[in-house]
Amino acid sequence: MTAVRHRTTSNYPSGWSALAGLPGAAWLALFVGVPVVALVVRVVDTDSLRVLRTSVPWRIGWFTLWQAVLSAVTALVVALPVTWVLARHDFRMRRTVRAIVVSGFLLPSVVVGTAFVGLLPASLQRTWIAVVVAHAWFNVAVVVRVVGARWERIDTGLTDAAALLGAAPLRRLRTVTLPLLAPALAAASALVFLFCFTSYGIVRLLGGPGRVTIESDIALRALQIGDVGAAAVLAVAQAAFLIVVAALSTTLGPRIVRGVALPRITARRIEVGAARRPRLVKVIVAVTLVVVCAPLVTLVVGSLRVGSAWSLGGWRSLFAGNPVRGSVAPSIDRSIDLLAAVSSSLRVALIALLIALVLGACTAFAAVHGGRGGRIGDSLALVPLAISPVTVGLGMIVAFGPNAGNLRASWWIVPIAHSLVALPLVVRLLVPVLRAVPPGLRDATATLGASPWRTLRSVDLSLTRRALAGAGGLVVAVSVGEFGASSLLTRRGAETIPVVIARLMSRTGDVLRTQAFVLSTVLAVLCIAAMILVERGDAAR
Amino acid sequence: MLHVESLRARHDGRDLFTNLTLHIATGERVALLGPSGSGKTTLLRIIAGLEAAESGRVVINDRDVTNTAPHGRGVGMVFQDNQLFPHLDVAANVGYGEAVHRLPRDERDRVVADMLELVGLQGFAGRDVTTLSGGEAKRVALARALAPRPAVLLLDEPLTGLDVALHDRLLADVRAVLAARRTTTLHVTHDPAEAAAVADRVVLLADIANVATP
Repeated sequence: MTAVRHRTTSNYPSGWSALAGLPGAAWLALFVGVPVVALVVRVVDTDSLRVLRTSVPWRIGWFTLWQAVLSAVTALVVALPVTWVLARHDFRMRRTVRAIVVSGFLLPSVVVGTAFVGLLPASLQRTWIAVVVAHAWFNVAVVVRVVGARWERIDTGLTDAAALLGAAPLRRLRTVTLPLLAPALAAASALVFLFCFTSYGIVRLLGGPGRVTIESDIALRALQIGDVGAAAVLAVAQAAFLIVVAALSTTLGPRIVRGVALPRITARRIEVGAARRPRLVKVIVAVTLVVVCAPLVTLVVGSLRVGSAWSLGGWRSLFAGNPVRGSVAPSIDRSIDLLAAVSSSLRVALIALLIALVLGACTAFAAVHGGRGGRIGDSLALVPLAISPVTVGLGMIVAFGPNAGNLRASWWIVPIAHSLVALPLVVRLLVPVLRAVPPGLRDATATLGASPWRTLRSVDLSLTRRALAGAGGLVVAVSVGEFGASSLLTRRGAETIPVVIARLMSRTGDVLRTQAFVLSTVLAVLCIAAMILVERGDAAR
Repeated sequence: MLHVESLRARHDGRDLFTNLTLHIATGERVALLGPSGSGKTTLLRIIAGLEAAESGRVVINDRDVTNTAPHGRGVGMVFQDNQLFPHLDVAANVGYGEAVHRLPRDERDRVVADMLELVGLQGFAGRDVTTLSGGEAKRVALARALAPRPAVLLLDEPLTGLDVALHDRLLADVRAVLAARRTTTLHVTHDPAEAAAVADRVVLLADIANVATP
């Protein structure tokens, strides 16, 4: 008797997936692999390692480490009350409150940095407190999303059972809720730690020269000091440290934090006594909304004020293409054209969108239909996530100099870098959607005489259209807000919005600051609009 | 002793029942019968303090507990879906109440061993509760609820969803365990045979309250 061989889910010719996987792999090899190798070679070849024999990088490394730990702890402490309220209570406008609370993470780091410059008193500017506060604010959304998702799946019956066995609320929290939340708490802490460890925009705007992290020191050395060798050493050291941390958390994490599988469905959400504490819920919601909205309101208000007077001058300068009358020296004013920055950002985002969407869709197709090879390609597509944008930018500067076609001097280098930052996110968004397409639909079109091309168009592309739109929104949001790689790669005269904001904020003058607030507001609106597309695409999953 | 007086409960803006009065003597086992959706589980949750009644009062052993938090009422409950703590093993689940009441470790271990023996689960102490069968999980839930010697035990359709053979076997075991412990028990079910088998007395929800038509 012959064994029955089960058909795989793919209905496409076997060569298709290999072909689809090639462009993405080649793109990553050329623009991530080559720069990383170039960085490592640079480190080995020169005497750049001398930088490690001075105390400066160790001091900077220590600050990077402890501010990231403190930021992660602060984010957890700030976010847990509202996470509890949103996960365990039903009230009017709950979804709206949640949307507002998680909106902070949609904003580019430069926008957040600018908002906190406007919000915090002068005495706190350029201190570690400013950095930690902004990091915590930025990452409240991560905690609410990651921890809240698990909290909603913990059946309230478990805490009910503990209550009936005599456990008071704090004991229920300690012995039932927290142990069940532990994997999500660990995951959220790790994510926030990593974001804060490699944070660049916020540190650069709020830390000032005295508070520098490894990431901002890499950029500082490469951009202002011109010591690319030392920057390469720091970039490689940081990447190595992050790889070790990631490996440790993958291997040791599950042993320390025992995860318990929870049901996929959302459990009953209302806790014992929820109805008896409306005042506490209202206070937590109100305080959180004030905390979340204050920096955003500061941005808008800041864009409408020059010095201590109300003025639309900042907005007029955006559309006039030149600065407000009566500001600082004309030579400085003319060097910054706000409208040109907006137009440059949109052009870059459009090119990055085309590259990342086409390569991402092809890679996702290969991942779903390509068997083992496709899955390897899927994993490789995540590599850019492990390398910070500043390192990507630095690697490109080192790899694509005059001896390699001088690509680093080309305008194209910025959209290429943005496509690399966005590609893993596009693949992650599209793979589950493609996997969810029922193979039976492809079978049906095939039996009706459709060619593989026709099947691809009428089934896969048709069913993933919303997800593709969502992925497009994500690329645009990532690109217009990208600062790390852009700050190293942008050519003079073609600056993107975040680069211009940072430049404006680094100078003194009320008008320049107003212009920074105007551009930050524009950037925030662009990102939120793009992310609304992402949410709609996400709903298609 | 459990005494429930003039209770009124609402759900989704409508009265489930009004003027519900029920008295259960110490050590008595009462089964409460009523159709699905008539408010039986709500009554148990009100007695346990997990939900508040619109009006009325709950008295346990001559103490008015109407405004007492659930953890201070001395009520044990076996939930329809067990609600075993998935991050704790069988022994830790059964001993949870004893740990809350700060019983010394060796005494707690003895209580756990006694309870596991009572429900026929000797040797299960170290088992992961997520690997238990439906019947085993139900027994652990019963042992956990009984371990702290509650003044009143509430059983919320504890045998629902089990296959016939397991249902009958567990029914006999539950009856034997409750008889051995002589715990004041209110057992809610929609199965008249189960009610008759477990309880000293069977009451109909419609006989002790004004029940709204669903």
